[in-house]
Amino acid sequence: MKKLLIIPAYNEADSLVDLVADINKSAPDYDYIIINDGSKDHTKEVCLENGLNALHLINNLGIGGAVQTGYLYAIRNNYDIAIQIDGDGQHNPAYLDALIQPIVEGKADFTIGSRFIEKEGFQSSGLRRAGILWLDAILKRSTGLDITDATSGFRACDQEVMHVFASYYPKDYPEPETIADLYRHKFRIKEVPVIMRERQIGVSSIRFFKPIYYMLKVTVSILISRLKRHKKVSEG
Amino acid sequence: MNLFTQIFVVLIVLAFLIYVVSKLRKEQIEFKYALVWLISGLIIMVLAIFPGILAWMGSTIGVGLPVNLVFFLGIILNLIISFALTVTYSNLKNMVYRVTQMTAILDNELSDKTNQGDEKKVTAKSNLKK
Repeated sequence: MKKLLIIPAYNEADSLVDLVADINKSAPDYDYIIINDGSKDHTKEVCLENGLNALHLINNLGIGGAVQTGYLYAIRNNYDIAIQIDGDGQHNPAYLDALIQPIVEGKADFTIGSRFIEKEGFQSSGLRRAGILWLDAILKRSTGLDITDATSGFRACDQEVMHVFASYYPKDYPEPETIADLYRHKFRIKEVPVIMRERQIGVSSIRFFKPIYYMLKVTVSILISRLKRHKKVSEG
Repeated sequence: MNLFTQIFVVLIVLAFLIYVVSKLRKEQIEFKYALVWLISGLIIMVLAIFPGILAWMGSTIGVGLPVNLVFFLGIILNLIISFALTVTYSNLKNMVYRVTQMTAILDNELSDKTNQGDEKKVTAKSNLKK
């Protein structure tokens, strides 16, 4: 089984080498692709000097566009499973096998690494926690799914889900909306307990003045997702 | 509206229409997007030449001052055009995203191929030495 780690990176030049070393050590049977989202620092040079496998976007597309590039790459290179993992060190590669296990066993099409099942490790700060609880509740109301960590960016999927993501992926704050999308496409979604670390370098993509837009956008998107028609995803 | 105002408006609209047509001639504007401007220009011109139409429309709909009808229709038209532009912009954004993504992927595949080519050359040479 070919497994690909999709690592979106924006100005993460300082943490990528360590992350790839960590992956090669603790998850050697996983390929990886770094998506350099038009970084303004020397991310590209670091990748070239160290021979890291990377896609260098000529424009800054934001997290959604960057991650979608990874899914396009995964499809083009015939990967069976694609895993999204942050470039800033908050996701531990040691949990990869656990994360993809339900997919390997054919029990799920899409898995989410949740830090709120075992409630261990970095639990996020108060206000952010409240936002996540709100989004979990919105997802529960509109899909009936019991998701505990809707905003988790540590996720794995099979080939069919890759095609859905390649054809449509929200451009900003994508995670909760894609869960609603996959529910609409009748995919099986499972959460897996993981322990996350506090991000080592870099800032969260959710900046100080953005939370109002974030909550509004994601809440409305989840509701709109339920209204969309079930469209057949074109292959390739 | 006196004759001077009428001529003034007609001349401005005429200049505008000529400008749009010249843009079309130089292929600097898509016909699809020029059409709405051409049509609104023509409507304004007809209304300026026959102000009676506006007065009649105003009294029929129940708008006291015909000029308020002008403002109302003008704002509505602007909103429609802005909305259409937002839709167009969203489509363009999707296309730019896909182009950016594919450029990066193809660039990666190209450098892979170039590297493989080099390796082949190296092995070919080492074979020659044998």
